[in-house]
Amino acid sequence: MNRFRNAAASAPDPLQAALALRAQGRPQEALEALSIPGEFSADFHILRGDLQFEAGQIEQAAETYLAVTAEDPDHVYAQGQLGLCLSRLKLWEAAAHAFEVVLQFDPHRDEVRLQLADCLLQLRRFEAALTCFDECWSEGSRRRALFGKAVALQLLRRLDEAEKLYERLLAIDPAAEEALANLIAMSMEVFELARVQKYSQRLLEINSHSTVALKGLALISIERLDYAAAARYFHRALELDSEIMHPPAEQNEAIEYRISRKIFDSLEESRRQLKFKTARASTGAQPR
Amino acid sequence: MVDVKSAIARLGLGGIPTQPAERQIEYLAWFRFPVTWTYVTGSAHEAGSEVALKPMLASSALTLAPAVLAPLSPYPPAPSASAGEGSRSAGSTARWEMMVPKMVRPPAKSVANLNSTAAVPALAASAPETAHKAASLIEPASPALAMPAAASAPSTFAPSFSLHSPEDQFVAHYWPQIVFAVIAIVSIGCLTWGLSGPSPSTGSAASSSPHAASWSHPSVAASGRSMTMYEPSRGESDYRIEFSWVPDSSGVGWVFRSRDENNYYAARLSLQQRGSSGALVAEHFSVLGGAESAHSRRTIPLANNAGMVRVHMDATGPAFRLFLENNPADNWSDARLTSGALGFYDDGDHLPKVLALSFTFIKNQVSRTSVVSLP
Repeated sequence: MNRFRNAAASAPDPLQAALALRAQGRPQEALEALSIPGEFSADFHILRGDLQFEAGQIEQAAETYLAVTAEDPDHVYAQGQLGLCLSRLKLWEAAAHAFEVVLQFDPHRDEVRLQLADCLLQLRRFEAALTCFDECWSEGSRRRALFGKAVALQLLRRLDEAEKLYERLLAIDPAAEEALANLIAMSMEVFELARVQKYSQRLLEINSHSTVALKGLALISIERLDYAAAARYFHRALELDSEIMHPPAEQNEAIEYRISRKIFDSLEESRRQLKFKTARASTGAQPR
Repeated sequence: MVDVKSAIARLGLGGIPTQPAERQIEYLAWFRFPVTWTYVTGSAHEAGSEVALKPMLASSALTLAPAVLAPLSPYPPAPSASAGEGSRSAGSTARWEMMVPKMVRPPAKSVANLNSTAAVPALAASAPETAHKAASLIEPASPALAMPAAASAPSTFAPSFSLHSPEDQFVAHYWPQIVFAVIAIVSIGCLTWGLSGPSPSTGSAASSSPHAASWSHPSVAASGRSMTMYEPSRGESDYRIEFSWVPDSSGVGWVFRSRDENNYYAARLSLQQRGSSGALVAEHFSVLGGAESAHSRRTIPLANNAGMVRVHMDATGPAFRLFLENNPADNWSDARLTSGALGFYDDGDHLPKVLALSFTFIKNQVSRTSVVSLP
């Protein structure tokens, strides 16, 4: 017995009013029109969930979609939306389950499969994520699946394979900054400075404001004792991201390169010298 | 070695174990290089909801190519669309292509085993046993429509409408030129045919019959609704209708699984203007025994009013899925009419203004596509 469907026939239906309000660009009023007690159709709840989702009320939207799936676990649309909400809420396990339910009904929806793979990566089920990315078939998902496979392989420590896939992606999408950033992270992990430099320079060519690239080039210069260059990159990175001067609040795993006071002082000294030289050159150039 | 490279946190090992020597070093800056993958779901986050209806960008950059043109042949189409075009009868408005689906979709096996219990109780419900539940993607607006769909296991052959081979990518890339070329050829062909009159051979060839032979106009229903039916689609059941349309308030309506003027399914798109922005209203309904059901409507935000929208709808068994710009816009199920013709309808007496119209029919795992123009 479907409570929603039966209720639809008898209860006064504010659905049309809400749809009209939404169509008029009044989503908040549409949502208010649906915020009434009672038992309503699944469509009523779906629309309310959609409006809540659009309004950024992710928790409320999740509850609404959950109400639909509790009544009808096979409601694919509600499951898909619930999955999106749960992944926004970082409830990866539950989100993955919702996406899995959707894919049981329609295994060809690559957008959902990519969402599932994302959850699996978050859950550190890298093999499962790799399989998931492998199952993507559509042209529209090709780049993202390729990238995802590279990430999964990187996290599985199959670095050579991962690097090849990143390079393949970059051949298709040269502007894929995140691929270069991950290649820098990979090169840092094995501490191959030549690669760190190569990928950092490529990334900086794409995005001159990339803090990842600037940090990569700064550490390369530090390692080569070129403090003048290191100071330039470091302070550019610092201008863009002051957080580098604070201990990382996040405890997520990452390759970390720490700058000691001794090196920091060296960088500051190089900067002061550079400023002094610049000022002197500027003064010297002035006409008498 | 410079002492700044004090430690590198290893992936999978959690935090860095604090070494006694490290305690003596004062750190002032931290460079972190996490592995990230926002690229995977980047478009979904940008769009807000990928699974849901995405705000439409009515750009002319269509993602799906028009059907590959090829001469009537039981063999796979020639790699070059233009080569096929050259050998076509100029008087033809219907071009058929036989093609074995080029892409093998993955089997409908279960996705990666999560080996876990869902945090949400509702999600822990048992997996669906029958595919008819899958058909209830969106409940019909009327309880009368809420019939269970016919059970058809998703693991069986699922018609593939997608074109993803290299030649199709070529078509996808150059579709505007191809569309214009087709329109030009069709126009010249029609003009030539019209000036010279039908030749005996043309009249006897069903596949190259002129407009009048492909389209029919059933008597106008009592409601005043006029219908224009594509006759070669009679008897077909699984198909895709695909066209480009510039959103307007008069809208575009089409019928499918139509047995006659009293038994058919219909869908409609129309533009709902509000100020400078607009939204598309997608609706569908059924007419059975002359009785019209309630209309199920969905509103799809339209970010940009100026531009063509690529529309396609798939009818596969009891499942119907509508896409706008290749994004899912609506889906529903209804198992009452299993086969019937495709066509267009209007509640006035105007044919909709659609471009790049094509029909793809799937039967016995073979699809054929017909690029047609409205009469």
